[in-house]
Amino acid sequence: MTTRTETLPPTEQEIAAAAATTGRLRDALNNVLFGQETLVEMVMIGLLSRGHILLEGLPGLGKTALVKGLSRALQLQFKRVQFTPDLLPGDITGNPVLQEKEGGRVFVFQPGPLFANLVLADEINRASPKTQSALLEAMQERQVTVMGEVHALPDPFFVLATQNPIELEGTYPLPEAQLDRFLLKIDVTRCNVGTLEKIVLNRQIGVEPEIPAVLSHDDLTRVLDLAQRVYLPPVVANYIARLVEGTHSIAELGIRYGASPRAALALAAAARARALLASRPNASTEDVRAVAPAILQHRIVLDYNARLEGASTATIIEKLLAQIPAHDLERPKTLLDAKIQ
Amino acid sequence: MFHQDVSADAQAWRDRAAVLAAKLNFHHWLARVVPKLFFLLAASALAELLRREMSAPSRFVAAFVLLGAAVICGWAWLEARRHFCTPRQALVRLETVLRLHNRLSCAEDGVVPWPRAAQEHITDGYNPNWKQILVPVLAGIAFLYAAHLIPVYGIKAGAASGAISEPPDFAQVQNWLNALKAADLIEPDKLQDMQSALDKLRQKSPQDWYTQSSLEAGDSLKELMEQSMNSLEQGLDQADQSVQAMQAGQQDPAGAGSLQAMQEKLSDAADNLASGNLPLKRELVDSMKGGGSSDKTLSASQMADLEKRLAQGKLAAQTASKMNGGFGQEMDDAIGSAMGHGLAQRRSERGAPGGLGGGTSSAPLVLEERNKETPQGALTGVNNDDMTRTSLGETIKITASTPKVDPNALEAPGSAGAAHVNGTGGEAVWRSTYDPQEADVLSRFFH
Repeated sequence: MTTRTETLPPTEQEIAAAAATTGRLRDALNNVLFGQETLVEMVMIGLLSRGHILLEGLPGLGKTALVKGLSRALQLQFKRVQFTPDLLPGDITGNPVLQEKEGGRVFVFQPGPLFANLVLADEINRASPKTQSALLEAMQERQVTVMGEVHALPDPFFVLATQNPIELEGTYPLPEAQLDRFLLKIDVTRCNVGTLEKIVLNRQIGVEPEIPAVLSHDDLTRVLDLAQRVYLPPVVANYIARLVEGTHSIAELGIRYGASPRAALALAAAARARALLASRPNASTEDVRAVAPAILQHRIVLDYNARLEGASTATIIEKLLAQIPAHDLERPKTLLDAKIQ
Repeated sequence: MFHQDVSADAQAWRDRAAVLAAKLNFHHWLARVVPKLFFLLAASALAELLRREMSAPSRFVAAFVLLGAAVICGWAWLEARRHFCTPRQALVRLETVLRLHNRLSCAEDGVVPWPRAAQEHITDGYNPNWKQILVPVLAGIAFLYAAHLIPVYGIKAGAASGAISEPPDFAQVQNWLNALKAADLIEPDKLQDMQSALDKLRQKSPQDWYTQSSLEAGDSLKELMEQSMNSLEQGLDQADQSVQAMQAGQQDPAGAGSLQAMQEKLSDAADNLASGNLPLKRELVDSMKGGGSSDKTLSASQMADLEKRLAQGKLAAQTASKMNGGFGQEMDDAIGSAMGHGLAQRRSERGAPGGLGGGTSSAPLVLEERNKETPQGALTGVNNDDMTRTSLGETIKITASTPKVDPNALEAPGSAGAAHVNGTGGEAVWRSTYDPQEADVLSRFFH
């Protein structure tokens, strides 16, 4: 028997208001990045889920521009950290500084760039594991501890990290446990010719696009709270559980280590956020299927044979979604092809 | 929370879910009952064949089918029951196939209002493959129907027991022995010896009757018997002629000397008949040698009796030696059986002349109505390795072989203009002579 926290599902009026708000944000971001509607939607899902996002793509595809645009549209405090091998944990968390105060000398904490609502960790895999750990601890705890003193990070707190899939020499790939802290890992792909033409006509190097502020801090907080209240039916929760379990139990997929319970929570949160973006009061199995690749692809480790065959986590997740039906009922195997997912 | 909607829409969606659940559950049951039903029908077809061969009443097969079907239906239901889905689960299927984003489940939970249920028919995703379901059932019914229709006859005792008819030589020897016993000419001990030899062959296992050794033994016995019968016939003929001559000589008083010579001749014939494989009875030999008379001559009455016995014996020996009835009769029977019991019988019954006004018997070579019974027997393969009668151009054998090419047979090409090319031995042959497959083989061989 499963138990669940009883929360009131959003009303139709609340959903309509949220739809208007998120619609404005979507339009603003689509004006920043042309032809990346899917990327914008996934970033918004991560935002509404209060999750951190890892963007992976080649340089120049607009990752940084998207994050900057997001901070302006949301009127959030934005900080950018360019990760390098010699970056120290104190460089991002902040350091105590010796100051003269009231005739004496005391250590005063000088906050680092992590103390912002929106932090862009550019090329996160170039920093040393020690610095990565400091960032990832802050992501998880939403606080930093310096010299035994705990400093809470501002709310909301989002980290959008980027990493380059090429030029891996001199980098420190994030270990699986740290990757698990990111709610979504989104592959940023290049755009087509039409989009490129639009970019050439509407953008200039060195000139950042004008982005209006579409959401206040209160609006954002309201929408974030609303996303948590989106109803998750038991059938969807069951589907999420079977999906995560499938990453462990279906041997033929070629997965060595499957997804964690945190991945199940991430799936639920992301499905709720997607439902809210679609102006629905409930999450659905379709929402789970839509967000599953971005949530699971960095949380599973392929076995040797799968890697030898050139399989990618994306293809493995496709197979997983194809094998696990939305309902947990067995279909007659021999005689009928009911064609129901 | 929304108030639980029990409106018409809610009822309509629940009804549809219930119908879908019933369909799916029925199909779960079908998926398990159809293979079993197929095997039941196949078994029933065999039972029907057996019933018809045994001429048993058809109600046994009908009872078997009905009882088996009932058991299978119950068994399949027990198996499928654990896979049955509830209307609530069917609701999930319904909302999935209709892409309602779990709206129905949420409405059932009272979270959102029920979507409007359209009155027209909607696709519920139930799309069974009836071909997979019906083909095994129809195939089983076809088996049963075929078992009911195909010709089946009662098992013949001989066929059922696998009786093997004895070699024809055995029957022929037995016929000869019977004829000789009936004629009462030969010493019973010798006839018994022959009979024992024949019985010894017969007592072998029927499977061994047609082995090489048994056939040779039977053939030897038959030849021995045949030679003995011929010797007996010739001896009796010689004795009979002597007795007839003696009867004629007795009436001529001047021929006393020649009568004595004839008596000696008869005595020699008696000695010949007394020896051999089929010796005459002792008392007949004695009577041929003069019986109890002191001068070893036969009286007229003795001669008359002797002549009568010898004539009877000769007739019996001739009848027996000509008696190919055993083998011949069997051949006729076989032909008659094969041709509809007609011809062989008519051969023996061909007393009536046939033709116009020739009597009531039918004309020769006119067959009776075809026999409807299918004879049962073993199929024997026949192989003829004798190639002496094959004609020119006739395909005797096809074998796989590869052409033999002498790579040194041709040195080509030579030179042309300023270029000089030494050809590889045999290359021109396989390049220009053989078909592509052969050329490929040769190419791989030479390179």
